[in-house]
Order: sequence, then structure tokens, then C-alpha cells
Amino acid sequence: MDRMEQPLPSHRKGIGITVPKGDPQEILRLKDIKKYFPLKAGFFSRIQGTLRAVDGVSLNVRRGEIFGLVGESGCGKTTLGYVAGGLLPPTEGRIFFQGRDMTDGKGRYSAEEVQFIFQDISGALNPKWLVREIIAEPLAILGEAPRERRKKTEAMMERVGLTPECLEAYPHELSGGQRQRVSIARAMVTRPRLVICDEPFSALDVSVQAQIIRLLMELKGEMDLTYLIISHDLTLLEYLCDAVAVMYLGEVVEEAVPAERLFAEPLHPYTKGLLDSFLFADPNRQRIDKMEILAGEVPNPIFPPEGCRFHPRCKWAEAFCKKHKPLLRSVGAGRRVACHLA
Amino acid sequence: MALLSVRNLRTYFHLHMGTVKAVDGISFDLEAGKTLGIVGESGSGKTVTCLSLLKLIPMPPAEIVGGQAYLEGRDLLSLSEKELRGIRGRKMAMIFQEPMTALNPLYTVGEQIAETIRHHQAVTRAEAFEMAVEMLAAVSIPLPRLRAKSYPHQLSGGMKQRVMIALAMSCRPKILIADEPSTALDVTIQAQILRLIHELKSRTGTSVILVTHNMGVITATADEVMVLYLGKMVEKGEVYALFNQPRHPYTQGLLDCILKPSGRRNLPKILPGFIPHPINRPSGCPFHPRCPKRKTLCAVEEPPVVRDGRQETVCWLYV
Repeated sequence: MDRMEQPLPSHRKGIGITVPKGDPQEILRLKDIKKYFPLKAGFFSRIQGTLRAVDGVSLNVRRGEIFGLVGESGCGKTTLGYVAGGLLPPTEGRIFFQGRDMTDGKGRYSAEEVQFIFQDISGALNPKWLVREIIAEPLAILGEAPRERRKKTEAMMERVGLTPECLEAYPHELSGGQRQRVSIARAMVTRPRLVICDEPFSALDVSVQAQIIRLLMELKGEMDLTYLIISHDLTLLEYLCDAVAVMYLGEVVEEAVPAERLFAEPLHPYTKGLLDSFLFADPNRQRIDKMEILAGEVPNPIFPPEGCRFHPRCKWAEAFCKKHKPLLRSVGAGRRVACHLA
Repeated sequence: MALLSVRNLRTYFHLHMGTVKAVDGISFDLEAGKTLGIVGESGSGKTVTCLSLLKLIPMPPAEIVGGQAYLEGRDLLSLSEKELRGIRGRKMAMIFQEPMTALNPLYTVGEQIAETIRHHQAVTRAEAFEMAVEMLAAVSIPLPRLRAKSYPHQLSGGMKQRVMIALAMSCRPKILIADEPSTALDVTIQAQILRLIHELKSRTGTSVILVTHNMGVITATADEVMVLYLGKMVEKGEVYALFNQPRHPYTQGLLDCILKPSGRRNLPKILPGFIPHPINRPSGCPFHPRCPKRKTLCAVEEPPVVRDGRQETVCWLYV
């Protein structure tokens, strides 16, 4: 069924009136998003400190694009994805989805606007529900009639390449690849506008991974989707993404549209370090003993370094970098970088 | 003369639903100072192969049905449990994917390394502890004397994996088996850990068996690579040659699945079908139901090993 045949839900009317000035192609805009978690301890759960998981991130995601978020553990990429998709409220900052302010107290995503595909597939599927019930749940939330639900569930299940027997199975009876297809079917069954994929491929075998990537790309073409993909796999992001942002300790350090320019010519020392350290599956690349591997580990995000947060690991860091925090600034069309030296 | 010669290793699991032939006739040679990569998808038998060499699998339900594994002229598979305890850690050591579960949370990392050393060498407690501190320094752990008194939970994932390596290398084994040593780690830490294994290997002359599903790990570190599918070897060869000219249709399909920047935004090539459940492995060549080049013979009879230089391919296409 074509999406256009369906009547617009009431909250979606008025698009175009409330769109703030800016890019009409924009689907998601994050403005100075901060997400802090208080760290509690002791008998009275007193606040002992603050984890600044996301610390002032602004991003624009355009309709129909694949936007990649990359970074190491603790950089805040997953938290940012959750905030962007409405699973966590931001501590500060504004979120605009198709021009609507989602942070003014009234804004709420509907199941046919944003959906998630989670990293931990087993944890994301209710073990006590049949696959049929799992896939149909978003439709039930939207108040669709049982007959309609059944029809759409079966169609979507066939589309993602699951056999009819899978519908009557429990998640634990399926293989990892099949479970990932179930979580894709659940996300896509409402024909959402934006799908946030958190490490959607990391737990899968090579051949299954290729099948799932192909499926997501086909669905994107068929349903005019926008993807926000959170990953640490640089090969994948280089292959898939139109735009890409690199995060380090809660901040965006570099951003590029089109994404390939970031891979061809990284500007931030951290991006360069990531690319130099990544093990590309190519026998003609340098072997491990010749690679220039980024030294050190990501510091504890509860006590991020002063100045540029990357300076303790940066081989070009100067005294200035240790005192002053670099701002994310434009350097040429489609590129932003937060480094004093770039 | 190879350091380790594995011949026709077969490990089966007897489960109530039937017998799973997890490893079914795997043979390989490991030369001194070399790195052999074992790749394969879930259920291919790569981990069971390694665990069988040290008899670290639960028996029952597992059973080593047949085969030999010669290390310095002795067949490891015929050794008693007592004799094996002298081999594990001393001649052949293993590091695991999950350092959190492999380290004992109740002992400091220094104590755990010292325990291994004292098991194999006649040294005092204090000497063993000193050696443990030296090992922690050798794996580039900052402040090793202080860190030796840390418990595993006080260390980061990368540091725990370094401790695991220190533990495994503490008795200078001839062979280090690394089962997905870098999988759970971040991009930069992953490269650091693999570099560390490579450096220790160059310094001590240890051979490495590296199990992984990550092709990038293989191309960066392995000298030779063996590809497994459903408990059987499908292809083996020198890394550069095998990645540039894969001969077996499964290897070809698997390498085609790897995304290349040159193919940007095209639909990736895929291997059609699913890996069958290992309990009903297809007859003949286990890959035949998914193989684009299959012949009628493939479903009937198991293909022989075909040699071409150093590359071995188990496929009827080349007979």
C-alpha cells in the first residue's frame, strides 16, 4: 500500500507552517543537546558527580540520507541516538523533528515517525511474545484493527525474508540473523520516517551482515526512509553513509557531508587516529607491525580532560590545547572540525 | 618439521537432539614463529578446534572421536589429564574473547599470574610475584607494580585483555591460542592488542593460532589462514594469496560480502541462503546447497583436498 493513500495523522498536519527557517529537506535537527547523568552513591543516594554523556551536540539530518555516528565506547553516540529518538529526554537543548519542537513538553514521536533497531537483539525482543506479536505491537499502539495488523505483519515478515513458520516462534528459537530480521520488521511495519540503528550489524556473521545491509538499503529505497546509523565499523560507514559525524567523550569532533571526504581526508587528529588504527579487510594494506596505531585509551568520561578532550592522546597537542577548548567550526563546504590545529 | 601437526581432528557433541559434528576431520600444520588464522562463521567449529587441542571442552557431551595433534612428537589427544596440566599454560596457552569471565574476580591480577608461574616453575611466592610484575610491564601496563595489586574489575577492557596476554605468556609457551582476542574491544584498543601479540610473538618466537570472524584481523596479522564451514576445512593458504585469489566458492562468496569503498551505495553482494543447523549438515560438500557452482557430484560425495602450491582447496571444481 502506498503511504500517500493513508490519511495524515492529525499531529502531522501543519507541517510546513512550523518549520523553522533553514533547510526544508531537514528531517531531524539537534541543537546544542546535552545529556547528563547524575552519579548517585551512599545511603541517601546523594549526587556524587555528573557523567556528561553528551555535552553540546548540534547536528542536522536531511530527509532520505544515511547519517553515521562513529566513536569509541563512552563517546555518547548511543545516548545521543536515544535522545534524538525520544527514548531519553535531553538535559538541555532542543530537538526538531520535521520542524516540530520535540522538547517543548508537548512534542512526542508517534510510532510511525521514529523507530529503533537495537544492538542487543536478544534484549530488544520480548522473550515471552511470539514473533507475530512482536512485529504487530507498533501497529497496535497506533490503534490499527486486528485484521489490518495481521495483513501488514505478514507482508512485512515476507519482505524481510522470514518464513511463515517464524511468525509462530519465540525469539530464542531463531538464529541471530533471523532475530535481526524480526527487529527490522518491527521497526519498518509502521513505515516510519526515521530509523535509528544502534550497531545493527556488530553481532552478526560476515555473510549475514551483508544480507542485512542489503535488506536495509532496499527498504530505504522502497519506503523513502532516513537512517541514523550508530557504529564503530568504519568500513560500514564509509560504504553506507551520506554524512558522518565523529564523537569523542560526548562531543562531535568532526563532521563531513559528503561522508567520503572524511575518509579521504580526515582533519581531526582523532579521526585520523581512528582511520589509521582500523583493521580494514584488505590484504594490500599495512600489516599490524607497520600500522600507526592511536595510543592510549579513552579517559574516564566522568573526569574528561580540560581544554581539548583529546589532547592527552594527541601527538600534535600544544600547550594551548590543554587550556582552551576548541569549538566545532566550519572549514569549507560541508565540513566542520573541533581542533585548534586543523 | 612443523611445531604442531593436527591430523584429522574430529570432535562431536552428543546431544539429546542428535550428534553435532562440530569439528569433522580438520588437519593443519603450524610452523614455529608463524601465525595461523582460523576464520569461519558461527558454528563452523573454529573455537571447538582450539578447545579440543587442550581438551578444554566438557566431555560429555563432547567427545574427541578421532585424530592426532602432535606437539614436539607427542600426541596431545592421547595424554592423561595429569600430563595435560603440564602442557596447558607451559607449552600451549590460550586467551579468550571475554577477559571479564576468564579472570577470577576474587584475586588480584598479580596473584593470578603468579599462580600460573608457580604451577609450572619451582619458584617462591615472592619470586613469582616479581615475575608477574615483569610480565605486566612486558604487556605495556603502566605502573605494573601497582596494577599487580588490582582486581580485574578495577581495570578497563583493554587492560584486562593485556592481563590475559600476560597470564598466557608468563611461562613462555610455544603456542598461543587467541580466540577472538580483540572482538569486544574498541577500534584503537583492538589494534593495540593485536600489535602487542605480534610484538611478543616476534620477541619470544611463539607461534599463534588466531581465531576470529573479523577478516580485518586476519589480513593485518596472520601468515596463513584456514577457512572453516560447518566443521570442515574448505580452504587454506597464505593470506595474501587466499584473499586475492580465493578458489573455493564459499571463500569467494565470503570475501565478496566484505564491503569495499569502491562499491559505495551499491547493494552489497550477498551469499544466498542461511548456514544450516549443524545437526543436519548437508551431505557431500556441506556448502553445496548454497553453492552457485555446484555439480551433481557435490551433493553425493565429500570433495578431496586439492593442492595448488601452498593453497589447499576442498572442492570438486578443481579435481
